Amino acid sequence: MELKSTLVSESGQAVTEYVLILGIIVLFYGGLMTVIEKMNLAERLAAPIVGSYARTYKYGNPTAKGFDEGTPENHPRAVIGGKVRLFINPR
Amino acid sequence: MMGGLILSFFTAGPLGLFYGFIGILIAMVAFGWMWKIQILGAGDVKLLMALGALSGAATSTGKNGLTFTVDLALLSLIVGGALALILLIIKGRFLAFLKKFYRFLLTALDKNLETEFPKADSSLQMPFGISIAIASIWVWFDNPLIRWGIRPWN
Repeated sequence: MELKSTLVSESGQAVTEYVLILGIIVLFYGGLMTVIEKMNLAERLAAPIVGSYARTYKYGNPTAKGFDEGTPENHPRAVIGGKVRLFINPR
Repeated sequence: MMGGLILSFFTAGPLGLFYGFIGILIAMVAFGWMWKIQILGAGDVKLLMALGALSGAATSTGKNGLTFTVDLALLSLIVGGALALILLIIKGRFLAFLKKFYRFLLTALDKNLETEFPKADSSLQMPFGISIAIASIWVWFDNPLIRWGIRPWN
């Protein structure tokens, strides 16, 4: 009995040039991720916001530099029923 | 695929089975669209899905069951890209490809020009399954993406 191959093509069906483009895209993405990680870009971008939030929480004022300019008591807040406390952004 | 799911279940229990299903799903999403627009063959997608089913079994060797298939897909594309590059150089088509790619970059960056997407010569095909096979062995024994930093969840 003669066996017939059911394979359409043994040379593959992936378009070579597109595969190369996809490979380039993945490598580009990898390079970008490495640069972002090495430059600490995420932390640098978040620094101004993080600093402002920290000062607001600690001193009750986003522009205060230390406890001489503010204390946590200055931080505007809403106390609901003595159990729930919400801090309000003073800006 | 069934074999992979059974192996995942016996090596890592119900959680392994869950990871196996997730792996199949990730593989389908990652490569399914490429099959739809005829970049890859259906067999390549099915092969990745079958390997994705092994995600549960991969957890028994200390790997993350959720990211195993994504790592595999990314590395397959890198290995595939390298093989495609070699193939294009051998067939003498690399310069023509570079010209098309350059035109695409030029038209994409210049606002005055209409972006000209590179039209690939679909008659030049390659067996992508080889890339998936190489990548699967590589990811299983020593995941290079961790060293290269090509992982969005690091």
